Amino acid sequence: MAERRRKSLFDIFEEIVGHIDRVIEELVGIEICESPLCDVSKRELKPLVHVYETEDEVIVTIDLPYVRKEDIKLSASEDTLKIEAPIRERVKLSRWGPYQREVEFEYFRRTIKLPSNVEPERAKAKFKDGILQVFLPKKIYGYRIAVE
Amino acid sequence: MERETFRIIGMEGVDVKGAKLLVGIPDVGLVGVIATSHIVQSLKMKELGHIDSDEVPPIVVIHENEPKSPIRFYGDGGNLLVLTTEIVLPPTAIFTVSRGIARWAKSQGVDLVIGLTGLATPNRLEIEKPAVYGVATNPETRQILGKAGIKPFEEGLLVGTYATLLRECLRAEQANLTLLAEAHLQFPDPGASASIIETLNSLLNLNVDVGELLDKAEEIRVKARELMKRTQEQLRSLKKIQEQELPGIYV
Repeated sequence: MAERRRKSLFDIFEEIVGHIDRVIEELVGIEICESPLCDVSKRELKPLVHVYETEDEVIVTIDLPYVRKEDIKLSASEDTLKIEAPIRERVKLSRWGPYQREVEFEYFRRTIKLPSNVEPERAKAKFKDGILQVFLPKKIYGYRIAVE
Repeated sequence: MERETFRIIGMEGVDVKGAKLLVGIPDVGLVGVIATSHIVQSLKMKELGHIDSDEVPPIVVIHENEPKSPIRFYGDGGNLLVLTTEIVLPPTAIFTVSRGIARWAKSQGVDLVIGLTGLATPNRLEIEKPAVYGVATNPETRQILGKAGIKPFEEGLLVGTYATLLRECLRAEQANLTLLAEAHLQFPDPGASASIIETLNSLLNLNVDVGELLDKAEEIRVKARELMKRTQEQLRSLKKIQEQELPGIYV
């Protein structure tokens, strides 16, 4: 049986801050720490992501153009999903914005905070037309109550 | 002194009487922006003028070392006009810009305002070729829809920029046709834009090749990510999700 790690005070604080950020994001529709979807120094792009949940699962859809299925590295914990994938052809942008020179990107990389705790070992994923869909069953808490 | 909130600059000497005005503004799947951008490039349309408003975000686009307004008109020298932008309009600007476009089009004798957008489709991944639906503001335009084989968008809600443009056109008695291609809500969708262009080809007798657009689909999806992210934020604040909800009561 997997050993349950005791949460530190920092973990709990981070969770609360993350929760407040998500609530504000939902209410006013803006990101708290706004940052571009790229890191030029690491040659990385953050993929676009759509997260939604049903009663039973969290479904994460990720846009991954220029990516081959066999190159995708995907891992999940109870509350996060990590995606890493090399870009098939280097994406070049020339003389754009603060980078008045050519910049290249080689990787998609992103860690996604999940809205509910999930059972990562039961997760499934499918990839079609450069779009990855990950289905993560939600962790079940509590007991079934029989209705007489 | 009252603030002048909407101005069209550079179009004074352009004869737009009887023109068809295609509108591509960031919305579902960036369908309209991708489609209008491809049409402008394919038909080598020239920049004619732009829209200015105090409510438009403080952004200037620099292209080949030349500052440009973010909301621009293009023309082909004939009766085709394109209005496109690569910025996301804040909600207050949506009203001002939509009202301004509708009133200007009516006053200048524009024949038809054609809004190009996406219809967020939950099972888009399973759809090979997105269908295109249309909503028209008057019976004459609805007849054109039928002749061009465009499926009517029979029932439902439209939310956001194109809904406002449609409403303002109704108010100004300006003919409007809004075309909606099945699209990804959250990701740029060049495939949906290609479907819209093919529909326009048969509707307006255009000859815009979508092969190049489809060949460049992955590149477009990479380059349009930041605009899509901003559009996602806007769609969330406009409660776009209402379009997906089950119907209420309509009498």
